[in-house]
Amino acid sequence: MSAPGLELRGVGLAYGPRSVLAGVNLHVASGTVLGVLGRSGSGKSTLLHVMAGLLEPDTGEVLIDGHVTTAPKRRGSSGFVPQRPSLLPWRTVLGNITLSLELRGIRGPGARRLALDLLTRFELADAAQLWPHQLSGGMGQRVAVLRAALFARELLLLDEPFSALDALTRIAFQRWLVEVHQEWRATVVLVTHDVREALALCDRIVVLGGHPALIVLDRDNLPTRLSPGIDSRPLEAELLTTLLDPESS
Amino acid sequence: MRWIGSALGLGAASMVVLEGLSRMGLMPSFLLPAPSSVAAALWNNAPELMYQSAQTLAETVIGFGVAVVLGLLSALVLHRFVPVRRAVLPWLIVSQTIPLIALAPILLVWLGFGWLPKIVMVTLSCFFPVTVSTLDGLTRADPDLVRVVRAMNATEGQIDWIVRFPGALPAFFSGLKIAATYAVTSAIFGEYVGGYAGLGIFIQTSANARATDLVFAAIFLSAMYSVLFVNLINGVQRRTLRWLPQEDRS
Repeated sequence: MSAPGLELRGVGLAYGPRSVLAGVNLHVASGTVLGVLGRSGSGKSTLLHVMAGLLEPDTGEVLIDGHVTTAPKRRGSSGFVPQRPSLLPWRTVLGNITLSLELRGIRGPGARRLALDLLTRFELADAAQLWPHQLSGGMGQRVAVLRAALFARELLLLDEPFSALDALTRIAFQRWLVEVHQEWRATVVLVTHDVREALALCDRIVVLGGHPALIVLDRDNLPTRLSPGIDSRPLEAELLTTLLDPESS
Repeated sequence: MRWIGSALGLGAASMVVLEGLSRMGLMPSFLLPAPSSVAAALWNNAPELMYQSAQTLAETVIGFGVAVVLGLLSALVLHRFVPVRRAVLPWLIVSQTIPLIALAPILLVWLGFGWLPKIVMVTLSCFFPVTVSTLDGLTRADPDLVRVVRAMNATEGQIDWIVRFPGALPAFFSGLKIAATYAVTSAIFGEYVGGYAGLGIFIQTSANARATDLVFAAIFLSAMYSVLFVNLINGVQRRTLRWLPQEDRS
């Protein structure tokens, strides 16, 4: 199955009197990585919740593969990874991974084998019987991403998955994520507040906070992912300027 | 485990002081018997104390079991149906302000002198901590975990089963331990107010006969049963919550 495209048309949402999203228009092409940048409170996580079907927007529509969807319909069509490590503490790593399969109706030895194969492929087999509290932050997030990918590897929604990691673990995890993406060619939406991270990982970058959301850069203008020796400072400067004053762009 | 050593040390030191005061004639035995007299009373009346204990423990276990089942069911209903929670929870809290000492004679009038009023007494005193703690655990479920499972198209029932129930277990066990400390004393109090057998009756008849060594023997047993009860729950908790870091399991 090919990765689905995702489109938002005029999406708006308010919490009471406070408008969080207003007139957001976005298109995430199949198999690409969209980076969503923005300040704290700019609605990045809310946008991801709308995409995951956890929230219904007040205005506008969300299309998956060209079809208009409601929030309940969107639920179950993506792998969602929230900001904090989100493994169920009362399940082992293997139990957390098989959760994705259980909710798809696959249980028993078959589910176990599939989960173990996945953990082996991504060098986490040794951790299969560990409890989440026994994992490092980076390892926990990798398991969370694998669980989401096993549920719906075609569309991954990642909410600042690197924010709780130290610098070295973060770089290792970024490289690992690129490998995962290259293997599955998933459509990925990556919420981040880190400009460099967005430049390194994404095909397209948007900045939330302006009205409407600004698509700042496309792949053609971005340096090759994670390539050393390429001077990304001008792009960083451009993104930072947009982040600081989105209305001026 | 260092605290056990310290606690036992303090207990032993208190026993030595009491024993000394009693032997020196500074403490009349009808007021506070020497620990050795209490030990002797325990030894000499062991069959009688075991018989009375069996009655009290049976009432305790049945009343506690009923409270746990009712408490869990109530917590689930109060968690699931918010309007019911809003209507019922304030009354539940008000019910806890009614002193058991006022309720006990009424229970006797309603239910007689047999087992039932004692069991009801234990249930009444244990029900609230189990309900409130479990409800607290259910409502404090980690919102990120709920979101992750909901995004996987789980139903509310599946979210309860996968996230909320296991997440509420530590709070449930806390409530269980609080309830366990009330359970034995509630059964004894129920017997004390009116009944045919049990440690409460034993305490009452011994006090009437001014046999304070027997009263203290029964008090000692009652305390030991409560400690045993709490430790039993601690053991189950440690086995059940083996997914928590070791220091958070009890």
